[in-house]
Order: sequence, then structure tokens, then C-alpha cells
Amino acid sequence: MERIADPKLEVARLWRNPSIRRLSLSIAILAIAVVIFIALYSYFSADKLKQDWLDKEAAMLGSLAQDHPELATDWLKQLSQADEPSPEAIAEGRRIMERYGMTPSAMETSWLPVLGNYRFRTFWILIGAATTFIALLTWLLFRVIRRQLGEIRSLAVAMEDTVKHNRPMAYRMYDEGELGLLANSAQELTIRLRETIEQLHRDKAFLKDTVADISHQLKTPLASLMIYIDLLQAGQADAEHAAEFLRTCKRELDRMEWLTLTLLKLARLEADALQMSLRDTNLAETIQHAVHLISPLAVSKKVTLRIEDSDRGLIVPHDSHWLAEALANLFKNAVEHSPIGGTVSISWENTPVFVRVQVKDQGNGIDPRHLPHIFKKFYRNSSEGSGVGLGLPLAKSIVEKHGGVLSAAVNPIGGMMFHLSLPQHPFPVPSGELTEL
Amino acid sequence: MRSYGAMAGRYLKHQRRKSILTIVGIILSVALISSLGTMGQALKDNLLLDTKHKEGSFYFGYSKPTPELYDTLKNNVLVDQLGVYRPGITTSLEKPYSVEVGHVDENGFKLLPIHLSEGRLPQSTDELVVETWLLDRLPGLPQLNGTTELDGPDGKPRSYRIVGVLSNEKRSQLSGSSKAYTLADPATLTVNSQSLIVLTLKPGVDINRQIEAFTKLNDSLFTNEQLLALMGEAADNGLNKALAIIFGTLIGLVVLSTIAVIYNAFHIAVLERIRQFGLLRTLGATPGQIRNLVFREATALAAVGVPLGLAIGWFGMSFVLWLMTQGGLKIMMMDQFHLTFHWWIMGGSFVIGFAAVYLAAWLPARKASSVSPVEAAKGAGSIVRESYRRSRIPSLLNLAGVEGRMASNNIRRNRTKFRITTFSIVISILLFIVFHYFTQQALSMTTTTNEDDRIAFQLNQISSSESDQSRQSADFLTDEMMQELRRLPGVHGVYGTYRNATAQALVNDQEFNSDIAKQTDMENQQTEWDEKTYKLLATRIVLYDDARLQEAQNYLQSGSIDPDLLAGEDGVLLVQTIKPYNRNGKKVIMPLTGYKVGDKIKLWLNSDQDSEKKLVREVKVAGILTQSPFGSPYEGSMLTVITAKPTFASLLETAPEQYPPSFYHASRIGVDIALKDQADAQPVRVKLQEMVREIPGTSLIDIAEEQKGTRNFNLQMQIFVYGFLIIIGVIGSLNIINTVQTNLLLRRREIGLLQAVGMTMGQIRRMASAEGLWFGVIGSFWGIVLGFGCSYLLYLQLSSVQGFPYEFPWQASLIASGAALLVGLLSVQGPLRRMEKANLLEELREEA
Amino acid sequence: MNVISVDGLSKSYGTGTTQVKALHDVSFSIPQGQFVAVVGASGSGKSTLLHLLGGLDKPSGGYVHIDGDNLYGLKEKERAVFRRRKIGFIFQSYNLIPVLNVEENIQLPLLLDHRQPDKAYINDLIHTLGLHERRKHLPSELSGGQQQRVAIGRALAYRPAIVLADEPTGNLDSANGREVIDLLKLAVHQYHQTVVVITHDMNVAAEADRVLNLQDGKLISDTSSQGRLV
Repeated sequence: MERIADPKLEVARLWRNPSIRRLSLSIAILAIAVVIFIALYSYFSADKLKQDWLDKEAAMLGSLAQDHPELATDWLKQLSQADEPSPEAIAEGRRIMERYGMTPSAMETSWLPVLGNYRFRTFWILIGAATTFIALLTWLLFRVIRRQLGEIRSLAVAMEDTVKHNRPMAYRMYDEGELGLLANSAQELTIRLRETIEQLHRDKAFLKDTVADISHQLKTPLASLMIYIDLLQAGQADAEHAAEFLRTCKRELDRMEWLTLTLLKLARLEADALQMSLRDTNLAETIQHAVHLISPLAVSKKVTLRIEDSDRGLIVPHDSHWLAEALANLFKNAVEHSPIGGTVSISWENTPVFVRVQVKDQGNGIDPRHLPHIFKKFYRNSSEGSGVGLGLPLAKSIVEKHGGVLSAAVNPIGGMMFHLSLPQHPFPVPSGELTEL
Repeated sequence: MRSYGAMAGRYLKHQRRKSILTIVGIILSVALISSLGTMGQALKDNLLLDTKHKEGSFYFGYSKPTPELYDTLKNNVLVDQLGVYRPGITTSLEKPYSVEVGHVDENGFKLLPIHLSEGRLPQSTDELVVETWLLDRLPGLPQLNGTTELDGPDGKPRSYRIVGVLSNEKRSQLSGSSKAYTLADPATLTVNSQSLIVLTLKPGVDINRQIEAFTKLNDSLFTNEQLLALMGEAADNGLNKALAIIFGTLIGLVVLSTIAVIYNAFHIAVLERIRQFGLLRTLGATPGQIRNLVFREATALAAVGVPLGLAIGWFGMSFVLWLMTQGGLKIMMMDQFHLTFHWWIMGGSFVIGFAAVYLAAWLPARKASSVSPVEAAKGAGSIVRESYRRSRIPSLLNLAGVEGRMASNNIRRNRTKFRITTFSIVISILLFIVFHYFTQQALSMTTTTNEDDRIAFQLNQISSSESDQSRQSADFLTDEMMQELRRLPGVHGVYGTYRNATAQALVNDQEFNSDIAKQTDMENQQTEWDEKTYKLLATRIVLYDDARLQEAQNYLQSGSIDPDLLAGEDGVLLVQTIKPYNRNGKKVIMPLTGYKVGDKIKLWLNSDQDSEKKLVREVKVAGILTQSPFGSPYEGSMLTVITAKPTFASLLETAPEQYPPSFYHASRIGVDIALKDQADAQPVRVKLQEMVREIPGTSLIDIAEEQKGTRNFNLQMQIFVYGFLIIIGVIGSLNIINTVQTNLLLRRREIGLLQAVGMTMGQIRRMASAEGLWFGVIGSFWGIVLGFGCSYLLYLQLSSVQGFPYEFPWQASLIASGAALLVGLLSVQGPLRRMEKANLLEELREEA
Repeated sequence: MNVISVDGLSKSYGTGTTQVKALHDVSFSIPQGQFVAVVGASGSGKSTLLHLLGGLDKPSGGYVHIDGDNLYGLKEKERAVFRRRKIGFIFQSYNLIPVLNVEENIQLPLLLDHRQPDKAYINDLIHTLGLHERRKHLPSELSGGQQQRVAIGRALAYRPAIVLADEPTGNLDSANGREVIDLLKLAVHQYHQTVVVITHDMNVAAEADRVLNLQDGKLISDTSSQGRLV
């Protein structure tokens, strides 16, 4: 599972949004345009200023030359001096200027047409350009934001559809960037919502089914019980028959009890109401325990429960009590299908991921077509066995709660093979069940 | 791993060898580009410096100024520096030498080409600078800081202190008249029409446009043409444009080659990993992300290769130049050759390097990103349905047996791969040919390559018209003395100098090259002789002694040089290639006549005499030379006929009025001494000075320094040229090796299959070699064709600077093709041997 | 809800006389949490079907809906992102990027999506898959079985809705093959993923909840789970 953990939007992540990329490109182009404009403007403006200023100087030189030609040459020389003006010269000049009232503050810029023109020009052109560029920028930004808001709105509408009307999301987005992740999460949320609703429906149906199962299964023994009790109450049976009837009743009651218990167990397992406590325990011991549970039955059928050569010291995380129960059910099934005097072989092996337990019997096996169904409740392909058809489903449920797999196959040399795979390292629990938030 | 982009780094590390090869390719190319740029710019910079050194750093000047002009110029805002030169009175010294003391003001010393070798410039009107060789001729035999008496500006002798010594010039040594300089006193400075004003303009001023305005001030304006041309301000910007185009083309070619190398490397890298890219696509990578991966690899390679390339280019160049200066060579005949670091060249090379890498990676990136995800899914059993078009032209390879046929089929099957491989070979060959052609032509254009380069000293008889008759009939210097000189350490050769004679050759129309009339303005008179009409061509008749004839062997185009044969049959060596100006004002090299060995040339020996009887002698062409081994390689419009002594003497005797014996004789009048490369001139100089003192009436002309510079220039050019060519060769070879090898490695499974079917390793080797050879052949063919085209283009550019006939670069083509074939063949062997060792089954089973 | 919904899907290669019809009007739906096996002889179109289910190829006709999305109505780039988030692939061989180690290969789809993986979860996963000692090894240093486990790890790392496996046990011995199948079943049970496996191994098919049988590009049988029998 991954996590969109970090809520901070780093720069690198920012760059993955297609809208940001588009925006950057437009801004880059705009920036280049601005730079070019500024370069052109400063070039031409300076040129015009130069022209204007030279005109003024030429006028001065011309008027000087008429009366004082040598001064004109001097003035020209001063003009062409490229060096920085000396501060003394500036000071001297300023003093003279002040004497005649020509200070920078007093001089209205508009009296100096050259500067006046320059200022006027600069002001209006720059204002015009700035306005244009800002307008362009605004338009660009609006475009981008509008697009994004549009996408958000579509998402919102689609989510409303799902939440209020339970329809699948009409607007789907598969994109990179933050909006894409949001859309993805929204989509997953809606899917999960629908799955949760379906799961709830399923749970309801399951509950209904379980109740129906229980009542159905109980109906028959209850009916027999009623008949027998009636007979006994009526006193119409002799002592021998009465004892017989009583024994039958006890048997039926036992059976009902076992049925109820098992069904409840199963129901609770499937409803996730039971928790396994997985601990590192010795597998061999658990298997031994299960064998012990079934040995009475095995002995009665003269079937040998043989444990093959396997690693006795193997430690696997499992709930010893429950796994023993599951194994017991498997053994029971195997024993019930074995011929008199047959052998049920039990072995296990260690692979990188799992520990695989194998239970082989020497029975008749079954038609491969029935294989997918044998783990379904109440399925019985043969009338052998005292069970109701709940043993295998129970075992499967328990194994799956361990994070393992229980499967069956037909042994090519005859009989059935059951594989029970347990992970050596339990799989990470998915973060949150469907009905848990 | 923080992001999927880190995969790019893994790929590079995984393919370490290949990545390094590619990086080396990038480094070499970038180094070459930046070196070319730096070299070109440095050449221009240093040419500029050198021109300023030789011609002066002024922009233009006035040869007939007036005082008003001077004042106006002083006040002109555009003028930066203004210098004045006023010639003085010539003082005669010991015959035939004379010296003129000119006046130069402070700025003039800066602007005019006056170069101190020791001491300092004059700072007062009493101080003087003179040429080194003149010191021995001045009255009083002064040394540095000594005094001498020479005629001052008013004609009266006055005393001058010699504060500085100028470097020797060949011209002044030969003519005997030299110039000395003293400071012009600003107070007494008067500008008149004998003076010379030179000036520079302020920086930033458009010189070209101002010349017209300045000419209006005084029309005796002359420009420092060479300097202005180099600065790009001359009216004729042809040189700059041509240089730009030439260097641009060369750099463009190198860039193309770089792109080819990198494209190949990337293309093959992508092809090898196509399944992985498909896998990435099944995992959900977008085409953009895959392109990104390839570009990241490109960036990593460029980030390592380009800066390293720049560094290696710069330091490599500096190192080579340092080595050369250590070896005592003056770079490019310039006193100081600085490698100027121009940011724009480094920056430009940087950008070009990166751009080339990205450009090269673009197509492979696109190919990688367009792979269908099914490629990964399809896996081992994918049979690509190749469109097999029956080609109508059967390939030559079919002749080479079953291996050849398979090779030809292989090539046809994958046209694109074939084209890619040959493309790189073509580029490599093209580059080599063009570079070779360019450098050879540039060399021949800029250098005078004949034996004159080696001549460092000349010992001459001082001739005076009233010399003894006895002296004239005797050779200057006895043969033993010549042998003695030859034995001096460092002497390459000692050659006798003799009188030249001129005559007119009677040439009929078949022998005369009609192109001359078409392309030049040369007009030739005609005359009649023996009832036939002939064109008259001026002919120079030159005497070579055995030593010179020996050297002439290297210039022999056809025929033979056998002194005895020459003497016996009146045989001559003919130089009929000339370098006239064509109608466009450019110099072109072309033959004047079309004589062949064995032809007879009719020489009209008394053409200057208005006599009725024409004295015509026939000489037989024993050999034709490409150019004159001594003297200027090409005449402007004359034929050159080289004879041995007996023939020369007999020719002279035939027309004694034309060749009065008082002047014309077949005895030695001087000696040229040529030095070996890197030889120390000093021992020879000392010996020669001794001889001058011992033998009366001899003069020594010392041009050792100049000669060394010229000689070394050629050497340096050779070094640079071959250095560049080697690098290009390496780049090309790298390319070829990389391509051919990966080509083979990609076909490992196919070859494994062939082995399983029963083909022996030898047959497979022949097949692969046939393919390799065919690549080489086709590549060479196209490389030569394109090389011809490009070199012709280059020729057009170069000939706009100086004309010469187009010669196809046969040598370069052969070398390049041969090398390409060899490299192609050899590079096939390596992977084949590796495959031989590998397990057959592994090859077949291999999925990746 | 049906996670996969296929409607009239067809695919043909080539044109004219050389045309090959790989799939012919195939329709079926798969609900979430099913382990489906697709069987059939070679050339029956199994692989083509898988490729089309995963959006790798373009169908000549028909629709594929995954989680309600029309897979081929999306643009190429969107389909790539879709694959990244919702579909997992396991091939018969050559599943892994050779230059990345085990850990990086598992995280790859997340990295392509610019998401940071949950380190603890990945750690656990690697442990469970028995790859802990080899987590820094390159694929060239792993056995076939280990490589397949890495591929499965990748499929479990980002929990795509569907896992498509093309003959995942084809190159493995029976023990490793069993393991792969067990892991895939776990994916179904524990993580509620839907797994579609192409196989010619009947043992694998036997493990499935549902078996689709293809022949010559047509769906000839669809043995789905029936209701409970009493």
C-alpha cells in the first residue's frame, strides 16, 4: 500500500502538475517578450534622447560660433570629453548656475523640452506596455485557474451523483499532479463506498442465510425429536424401545448442539467476529494434538493416521487451538473417506514463503468437477461420514483467517490430497477492513 | 531510490563500458569544437597583433598632409591617437650603406611599426634608435648608449646618443639604406607635405563609414588595409566572411559527427532495452516518462562529457603550445602567441555540446517511448513480420559464396540499421577528407614552402662596376670553403648564387595555355620566326649548381634531374606554373604553358637588341618542376628555365650584346647558407662574420631570426593539422567500432541459431567480415562523394581569398577509406571471438 | 459490481488474405474477488485476451470496462496512468527491470506515480514473500521462483484492482508453481483483488473459482461457481 503521506507540496511535486507546466511555459514566453520589449525600448528611447540633446547642443554651438568661434571649438572639445567630469568643475559650474537662478529644483522639467519629451514618452509608453503585459498575464492566470476549477467542479458533481444517487462516477480523471491524485482518491472512495454498501447487503443476506441454514438444519432433528418425545409421552413405547428412543434423542440433541456450535463458529469466523491469536508455536505439536482428537474415530475405522518424516521443530505463527480444530476436521474427512485399514498420511514441508501441510487419503477421490464445491457449506458428495458438510468449510475459514490457503486436489494414484499453506511471516494486514474506517 | 528517474543512472552504471566510450566521444568532440573555435579566434587575435606589429597599429594616414589638416585632426572628436613622422636627411656611410634620421613624435612611435629589441625609445631630440646591424657601420662604431654623428634635419651633422636598438629587417639589409629615428620636438614640429600623419579612431566608431568623411579632409588618405581587413572594417569583407564560413563549416561537420556518434550509441542502447521499455509501459509509465528517462541519461552523459571536453580542449591546446615554446619555436612567426580565453567560445561550445547530445538523443527517445506495451508481453516468440521487398539489383556480395549471400540478405533485411551504421562511417570519412583538404590548402596558402625557408644567411660579393676582371671570372669562395661551411654543425646546405638572365621564349598556340588569355589580363606580343608566328613569353634563365639541383629533386613533377644529362643535351628544368592576378584582382595558380618532358623550347636570346637576326637557341625540357625550389615559388607571368653551368655559359655566349660579359658570367657571386630545423644559428653566424672580415669585398646578410620563424611556422601548422586529423580519426574509429560491435552483439541469438543449424564459426566469421567490409565500402563510397562535394564548397570559399586550381583530395580519400575498412574489419573480430567462447545454448535461450 | 466487463471483444491481425482473427466476439463479466483461470490450446487467443484486458493492445471491436471505465475510451496517457493504479501484470518470464534490485522493482509502479511507498508495509511484504535476504539483489541473482515472487510482490504493493497473470507458472517447477498460485489466491482472499490467470496447467485451473475456456478465439465454456448444493 502506498501513502500520500506528506501534505507539503514540494517544488518537484509542483512541477508534475500539467497545469503548472503549461503556466510556466506561457510565463517564460511572456518574460522573454518583456525583456525584448524593454531592450528595444531602451535602445530607441536613448537614441531619440541623443538626437534631441545633440540638436540642442548644435543650436548652442551655432549661436556661439557666430560671435565667439574659438569658444565654440572649446565647447566642442568639452562635449567630446568622455571622462568623468571633475567634481571641482561641477561645483564651479553649479555656483554660476545658482547665481542666475538655475537650480535643479527650480528648473521645471517642462522648460527643458528635451527632458520633457523624454519624461512624457517614457511615462506613456511604459504605462501602456505594463498594462498590456499585466492584462496578458491576468488572462493567462485566469485561463489556468478556470480550467482547474472546472475540473474540480466536475469532480464534485460526479461525487454528488455517487453519494446521493448511488451511481458510478461519471467523470473520471487519470492524470498526474495533485488534481489527479485527488480525483483518484475520490474515485477510490466512491468505489469503496459502493463496495461497503454491497458488503453490508452481503452481510445482511449472509445473516439471513445463516439463520435460514440453522433453522433448516434444525428442522429435521427437531421434528424427529418431537415425534420421539410424543411417543415417549404417549407411553406407547416399551422400555426397550423407550431406551432406544432416548438414545436417539440424545444423539439428535448432540447433533443439534454440534451443528449450532459449528454454524455459529463458522458464522462468527466469516463475520470477522472472532480473532485468531497468532503466536509462534511448534507446528508438530499442533498436528499431534489434532491427531489425538481424531484418534478415537480413526481407531474405530481401523484407519492409521501416519505422520510422515517432516521437520518436528518447525515453528510457525498460528493459533494452536483453532488450527488444531481445522486440522482435526481435515483428518476427520480423510478418515471418513478412507477404506477400512487404510492410511491417512500427514506431512509438511518448508518453502520460502509458506509451510505446506499435506493430508493424503486412500479413498475414492472425487470427480474433479466437484472440486470447487467441496468447501461450500452443507455440500456432501457422498453419504459417507457423519458430518453435516460443515467440516471443510470451517477448516477453510480458519486457515484463511491465518492468512493461509486451503485447497484440495485429486491424487493421481487414488484418493484425495488436501494442501494447507500457512505463511511463515503473516501477510501485512490490509489497512482497514471494508466496513471499518 | 527517490523517483523513477534514478533508473537512468542505473542504466548508465550498468553499461559502464559503453557509457564511458560515449563520454569519451563527447569529450573528444567538444574538445575539438572548442579548440577549433579558440584556435580560430586566437589566430585572428594574434594575426591582428602581428599585423599591428608589422604594419603599425594606425587605421589610416595621410601621405601629403598640411598643417591645417593636422590642427583639424587634433580637434576631431573621433580621433583617438594622432602621430607624425617627418623624414630627415640621408647620411651616406661606407658604401653602399646609408642611414636616414627621421623624426617621430610620441604617438607616432606607438602607431608606426618601429620595434625595439634592446634599450628604450628616444625621449629627446638628441636620442636615436637604429637597427642592430647598422651599429657596425655608423661612424664611431658605437654600441648601445654610445654616440655617433649623423646629419641632422637641417643638413648639418650633430651628435646623437643611441638609446635603443631596433630589430633587423631583411629589406634594409639588402638595399643597404636604413632608417633611424629620433623624437620629434612638439614645439618645433611642423607638418608639411613630406610628413606622414597616422591616426586611430576612438573605439566604437564605424571606421568604414568615416573613411569617406576623412578623405574629404585631404585626399592623400591611405589605409592600413591589412589591419582594417582583420578588424572587419575594410571595404572588402571577403576575408572575414570566408574565414567565418570555413570555420563554421568545419565546426558544423564536427558537430554532425558528434551527433552521429551519440545517436548511434543511444539508438543501440534503446534497441537493446526495448523489452524493458515495454515492461515499463505495462507498469503504467507514460510515453513522456520514458522519453524523460532517455533524456536523463543524455543529460548525465553530457554533464560529464561536455565540461571535461572543454577543460581538455583548453588545457590540451595550452599544453601543446607550451611544448612548442619550450622547444624554441616561435608560434606562427609571432613574438607572443597568447591563447586568449573567450567566454563566448567556451559558452558556445558548451551550448553546442549539450544541444548536440540532446538532438542526438531525441529520435531514440521517441523510439523508446513509442514502443507498444505488448512488446514486453509478447516476449520470446515474437516473430516480426518484416516487409521483404525483392530488390532488383543483386548485390555484389552474392558473388562471395553462401556467406556473402547471407551477408547481403542480412543487410537488406534491416535497411535502417544498415543506413545508420554506414551513416557514421560516411560522416567520419567525410570529416577526415574535408579537414585534410582544408588544412593542406590553408598551409599552402599561408606559407611559402620552398627551400628559401631554410636560408638563414647570405654571403655576397659586393659588386661594383669597375671590379677587376679577374675577380669576375673566379668563383666567389672556393669549393673548399663551401665544403668547410657545409661541415659546420647545423648547416643543411650551402648553395652558390649566380647571375640570372632573361630572354623571350617563342611559344606556339598549342603550347600556350589558352586559359591565361581567358582569365587574366596578360597580353603577349607576337613575333615571326622561321615563317611561323609565335607568342612571346618572358623567360627567366637561372643557373643551379649541383647542390641546388639536388634540392630540386623534391619538386620534380615529371622527367629527371641528371646534371650530366642536362649539360650534354642542353637540358633544362622548367617551371611553367605561375601565379598571376586574374580579372577579379585575385591571385590564381595556373600553368602558363603546356610543355612536356622532351619538348624543345625556343629561346630568343637577343630580344632586347633591335637586330634583324634573331638568335634563337633550343633547349630540351629534361624535367618539369611544380614550383621554383629557390626564390619565389611562382612567377607572376614568366617562365623559369633552370640550367646547369655549361648550358648557361653557352647561352650567354650566344648573345654577348644582350649579355655583356662584364656583367653576365657563369661564376659564383654569392653563397646561400641554409640551416637545419632547430639548429643554433650562432656558431654559423660567428664563422660567417669571420669570413667577412677575412675576405675583402663580402657582405653578410643575416636573416636567421626571420628564417627560423618562417620555418617553424610550417612545422607548427603540420603539428596542429596532424593533431586535429588524428583526433578526428579517433572519433571516427570510435564511432565505427561502437556501431559495428553493438550491431553484432544485438544479433547474438541469430548467430547462435546459425550455429545450431550447422554453420561453422569460420563461415560466420566470413559472413560478419563480409558485412563489415560492405559497410566500409558503401560508407567509403558515399564518404568520398560527399567529401568531394564539401571540399569543393570549401575550395570555392578559399579561392575567393586566393585563387588556385581544384585538386581532388586523393590522398585523404585513400587513407580514410583504407582506415575505415580496416577498422570495420577489425572491430568485427572482437565480439565474434567473444561469441565463439560463449555457450551455444545460453545464446539461444537468452531472453534479455 | 463487476470489476471486469467484456462485451463483444474482437481482435484481428493483418489484412486481406493474411488476416488472423485472434478473438471473436468474446463477452463475460467478472465480479470482484474472483480467481479466474483462462484455459485453451496454443493459439486459442488467451494471451490476446489478457493483453486487451490490460489495455496493452487495441481491440478491433467491442468494449472492455474496468471498474465501470471504458478502457479504450481513454487517451494513451490516461490509459498509462490507469494501468499504473488499477492493473497489475505478471508475465511468464522477464518481469523485472534488470538494473533495479528486488526492493526497487517492487516499488516501481508507485515511483512511476510519484508516490512514496509505505516503508513498513513494503518491508513486511518482502518478509512475507521470503525475499528478505535478497532484498538488495538484482534479478540476475535470483532464481526463477524468486523472480516471480518479486513480480507478485509488485502486484501486492500497490494493490491494483485486477491482477493479470500470463502463464505465471510456465517456467517454474511444481513446488515454485504451487507457491505462486497460493500467493495469488491469497491476493484474492486477503486483499480482495481480482485475479485472472492464463494457464494450460489443469492443476492451476483446478484451484480457480471460475474457468473460462477459449478455443480459436471464441469463448466456448464458462464454468462459474454455482449456488450451494444441498
